[in-house]
Amino acid sequence: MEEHILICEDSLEGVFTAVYMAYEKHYRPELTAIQTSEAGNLRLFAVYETVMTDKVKSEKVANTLHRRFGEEGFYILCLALASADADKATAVYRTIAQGLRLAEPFRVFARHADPAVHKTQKLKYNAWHEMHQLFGFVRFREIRGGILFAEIAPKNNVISFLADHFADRLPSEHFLLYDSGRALFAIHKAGGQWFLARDSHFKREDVEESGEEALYQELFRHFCHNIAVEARRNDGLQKGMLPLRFRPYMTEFTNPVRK
Amino acid sequence: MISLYRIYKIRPENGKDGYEIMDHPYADTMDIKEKLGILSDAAKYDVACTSSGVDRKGNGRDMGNALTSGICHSFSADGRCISLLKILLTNECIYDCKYCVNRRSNDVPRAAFTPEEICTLTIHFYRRNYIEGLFLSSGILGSPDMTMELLYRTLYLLRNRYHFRGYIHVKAIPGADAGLIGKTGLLADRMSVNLELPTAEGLRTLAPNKHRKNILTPMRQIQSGITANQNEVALYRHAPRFVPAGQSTQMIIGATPESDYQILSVAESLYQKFALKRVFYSAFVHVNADKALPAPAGGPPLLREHRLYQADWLLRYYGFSAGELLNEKKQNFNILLDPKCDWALGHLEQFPVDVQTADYRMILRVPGIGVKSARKIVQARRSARLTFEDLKKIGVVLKRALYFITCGGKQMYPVRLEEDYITRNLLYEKEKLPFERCQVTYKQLSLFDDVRFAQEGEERLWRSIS
Repeated sequence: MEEHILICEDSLEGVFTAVYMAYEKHYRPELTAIQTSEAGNLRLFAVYETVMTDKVKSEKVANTLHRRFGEEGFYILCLALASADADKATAVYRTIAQGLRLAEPFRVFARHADPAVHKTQKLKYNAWHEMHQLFGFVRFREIRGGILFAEIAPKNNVISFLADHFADRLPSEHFLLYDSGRALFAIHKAGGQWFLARDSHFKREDVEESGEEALYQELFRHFCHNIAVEARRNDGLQKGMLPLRFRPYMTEFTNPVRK
Repeated sequence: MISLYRIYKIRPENGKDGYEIMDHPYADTMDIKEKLGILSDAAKYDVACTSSGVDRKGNGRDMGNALTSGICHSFSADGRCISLLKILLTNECIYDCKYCVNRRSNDVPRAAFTPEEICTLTIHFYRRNYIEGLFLSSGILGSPDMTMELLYRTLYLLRNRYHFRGYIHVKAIPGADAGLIGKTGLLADRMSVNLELPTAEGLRTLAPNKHRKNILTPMRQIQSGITANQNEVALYRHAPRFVPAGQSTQMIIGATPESDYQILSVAESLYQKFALKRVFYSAFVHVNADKALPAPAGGPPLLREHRLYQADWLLRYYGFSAGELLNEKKQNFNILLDPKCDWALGHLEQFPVDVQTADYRMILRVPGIGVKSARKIVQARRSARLTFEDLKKIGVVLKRALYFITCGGKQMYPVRLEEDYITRNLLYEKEKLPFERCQVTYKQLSLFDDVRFAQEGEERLWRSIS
């Protein structure tokens, strides 16, 4: 048997289309890999195929997965695919293939000893953890027009999960989430749906804060400084709980910009 | 005090359930930043800052939702989570509790927020995602009733005028009218009454104005309120929720001479008899010079607090009881070993357990296996024979667990099931403590942390070293 390596776009749709292809052509899961980027090291005796993202096919796969794995199972798969790991698609694909052979596919997630399932779970936890950290660490600034703006630079592609969370939390606010590493925007209009947009020409200097903004930033910095108990000071613990990479985007760790 | 009463006079608004404060003593003289400084500074010794326990989706119109897990929004320089806007309504207080920075006899700057100011701050902080909600406590202004009334009014405004759906944790003031506490509970997610000190004896010496009975009364009221409400919600799905995230309390550790056993027993009975969600332990921080208070040279007893939290988790999630971990003879925790290892070493006759066959409750008791890994073991062993490699992947800390488990009847490598041998090896693998990385060394901490230096711990240590 020969190995097949499918190369697809790094998105949910891309990977789902590749999964569709693998099933359509009856490839064996243990001999099939899905890559979301161009292979650096080409492997001998493997057939490389490029998959063009197809809306219809990916939708079909998504529907099947949602139906068979259930809401929670589908969520786990999506979160694992949001991870930044290079081998995520293969792990998820093999988990899917294993799961679909069971009467209750969701039970595949209990197979912690299986390498693909274990990897999927690990990726999912990793992405979930960063998402959950950002639920708290995202800092909105009010810019002109009363719009809220926040910049993030997550390792995993979690912006759509964040947008879901904040759209539920702040339904009557206009807000913009900006993933600077991926040049991605999540745009939410008050009382409406949010959507993703890509813009690589955005300059953060163009963002102009509203009149009230400085006051509340100042108040929050003051509060964070005050709330610490000096007798228990523990920078190591703080660093462990709130890694430095988040801090450039957080109000309480940055100095006010004087204009 | 009488003048304050007058200024704070509260009147009903058109006979409706709304209130207006006529004048405010601080409103004109102090700006909001100064107030926030004073009133957050005064609130920081309260440790409970979780936003967990309630799941509330957004309603598509108003601001706010809540997640069961809670969300930490930041971490302060002491490494503790900042989740809620933790402030006092006022740091004025008619009481004179010896340990408290806000006691009547202290000469500190005093301030009070108006309910409107608290609402504005909460809303503006919340929409910028600085906080998960509000934690509102207060010194006793005028009388317990008056203070509770002000807390209620603040929450009423926040929920009904500002339509805030985020998390609210509010204190129930001991001695306040039961009706007021009941009304407030319908607006809050979590309520708490601080036990302050583990025993009535300690309370008498350090908080002469507070009485054990006064503290337990509102606690009981909230408990029965929650139970009654759960029945109501079961019947009528849209009935208003009363304190849906449960109630909590806190105890100060190390200000009075109680032993760990006494403290843990108190916590256990609070969980069992008062159905508390959480008991928080707060290492005593020396803020007031008072001859009735100890002055710990090594700073707050952080290791002791840490051991109590570890034991607290064992009570809540691991099926241990206080009497198993400590007893009349052994009153304090071992400072060198965590409570679970300590327990296992004293009960070697129950080990080793085989991960493939042992029941869940026994697996939970193995040092190095937590709730998550125990659950995963039980799930995974249905479809596969587990190896030590698998256990490692699942998240078991093998360097601790290996002495106590077998996989398919085999040990990871041959080890003796002897107390001294295992103790020596466990001590060699240094325990990771949350404050190890500070300047304070382990040795300093342990000496100051437990003056009595639990005898059996010492004996065990000497036996293992010699």
